[in-house]
Amino acid sequence: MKDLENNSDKLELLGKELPFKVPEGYFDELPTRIQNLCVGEEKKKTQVSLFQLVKAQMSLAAGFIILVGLALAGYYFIKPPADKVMLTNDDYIEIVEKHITDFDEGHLLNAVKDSREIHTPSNDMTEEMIRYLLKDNVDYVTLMEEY
Amino acid sequence: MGHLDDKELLERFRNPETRSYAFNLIVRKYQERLYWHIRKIVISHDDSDDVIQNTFLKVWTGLESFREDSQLFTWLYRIATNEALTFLKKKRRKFALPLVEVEQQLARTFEASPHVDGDEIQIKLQKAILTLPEKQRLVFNMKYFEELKYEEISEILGTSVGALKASFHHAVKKIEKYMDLD
Repeated sequence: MKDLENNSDKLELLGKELPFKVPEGYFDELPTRIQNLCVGEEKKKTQVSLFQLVKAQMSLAAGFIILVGLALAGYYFIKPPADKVMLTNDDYIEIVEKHITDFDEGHLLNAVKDSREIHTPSNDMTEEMIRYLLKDNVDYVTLMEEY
Repeated sequence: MGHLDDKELLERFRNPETRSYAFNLIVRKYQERLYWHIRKIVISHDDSDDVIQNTFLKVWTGLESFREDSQLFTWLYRIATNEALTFLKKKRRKFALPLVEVEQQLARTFEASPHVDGDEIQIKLQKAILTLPEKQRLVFNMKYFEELKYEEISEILGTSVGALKASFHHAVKKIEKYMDLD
């Protein structure tokens, strides 16, 4: 057990000197170098902390921008441009011809009536015209016959 | 202030006003012991210089959380040992070298380095130590050169005293054989 615990006597003869050396003044300037390194690291850590601080907000903003971008892209991909859904009169006629059996007479008449109403001048317009004609001394009876 | 014991140094380190100064004193107190410990592991002076800087950088960031369950010097030794071994591992990976090649490369440092200065026997002894497995090498260096107690080595390496005694015994036998001391 003694052999296990203690250095070998034979080895002791070799001595404990190390065959290494260091540059002159190495241990005098090492503490300063280490101190500078630690201070530099501390500064770096502070900068990193600042970045970490705004990192969350920046991620949130970036996420929001991406989300808006995706939403806009999705909207334009799903919804075709307005001019593509504009139907011409010929299209309407074709649709009605194809599905004529789906419409009853009443519906068609109502639709025609509605479309005429659309082209009828508005009440304001009519009154304006009446006022104009009256001003020009047009006969009221003629006027009533006209409208 | 230059002759403060570890407890007083730690107290001053924990005070933000005296933190830097206390750290400087800790570096001055332990730099040589740690440097030579590292140098025996990585051999080259330039590598030892890198490792000791990394060691003290770790100490600077970790000392605040040091709980004094162990002695300050064994805690410092543990960091230095880990840093030195990590350095060798990185070197091994960087050059894709097998373990034996790294040790041979370290041995070649004795011929090439301007920071090697010793007689033939001292160099031969170092080369003999480099033939040992990593753990035996650490134990041998700490026991033979640094004359640490097994209990202290046990605290540094986290190995039982019994295992350390066995490692040292095997290391001595191998070195005696290498040095033709049988």
